[in-house]
Amino acid sequence: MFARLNGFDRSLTDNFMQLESEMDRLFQAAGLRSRNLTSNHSSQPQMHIGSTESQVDIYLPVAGIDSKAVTISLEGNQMTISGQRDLEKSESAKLVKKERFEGQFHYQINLPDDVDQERVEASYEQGILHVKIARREAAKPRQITIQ
Amino acid sequence: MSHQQEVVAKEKSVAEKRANSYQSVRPRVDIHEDKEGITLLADIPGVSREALDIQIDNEILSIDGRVELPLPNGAKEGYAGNQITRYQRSFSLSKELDGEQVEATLKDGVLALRIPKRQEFKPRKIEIRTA
Repeated sequence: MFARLNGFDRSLTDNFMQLESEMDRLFQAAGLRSRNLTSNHSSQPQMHIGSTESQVDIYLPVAGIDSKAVTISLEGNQMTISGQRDLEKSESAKLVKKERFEGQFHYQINLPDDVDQERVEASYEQGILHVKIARREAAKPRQITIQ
Repeated sequence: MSHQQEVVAKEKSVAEKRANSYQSVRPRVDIHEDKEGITLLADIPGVSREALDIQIDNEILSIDGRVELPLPNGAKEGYAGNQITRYQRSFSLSKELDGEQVEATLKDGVLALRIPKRQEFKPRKIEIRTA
């Protein structure tokens, strides 16, 4: 019931509206429901969630984190991604501009009901956390032959 | 216009539409300053070395990077929304910085630019000669 993996990532502070719009997209892609999408304009990279018949992919942009500082868990159809981003400190240099996110991050994502708890993969590359969740065979559309 | 030409024109417009459709992001940066120069750190997750263009022209430093998420088999149109993100931001360098000596490194989506101060602006130690 409960799959837990350690891996990856951290992310910039995305606001709730962004997450919500991504969730809308997921629902739409999964054919579950559709709401009006919020505006696509953003000053920060967004989480992308894509769904096909066989898998769901989550792409979370979170540059420069220690992948060991990320926890990914899946309970039922609810995925939680949380972690910590620590920025390098310098004794000799003066910080003249600070915009980059630092601290904890936490995402909660509702996935389709047919995700397979046992087949979750995560990777962290070039600052993007990619979580791939397989969907169960039974949920795939089947061709019914009329006898 | 023949039918064949029409098809070509149509295909081109789809490709152009895809190429022109991206999420534009102004990357967040931290700037550290020390006696020797400045270090600029920019978050550009997903951008590879090949897809990153850094230019200095007329004391304007420009960062331009592009990310395109992969499409899995069976993905339909509209999968994961907008697949392309473009990071763009420009900075004007102060006169004391030496744009000729910029060093850039990219790791885990963080771009680090080291820009030294020009020699004449660096602190100098004055030797005192004995009379």
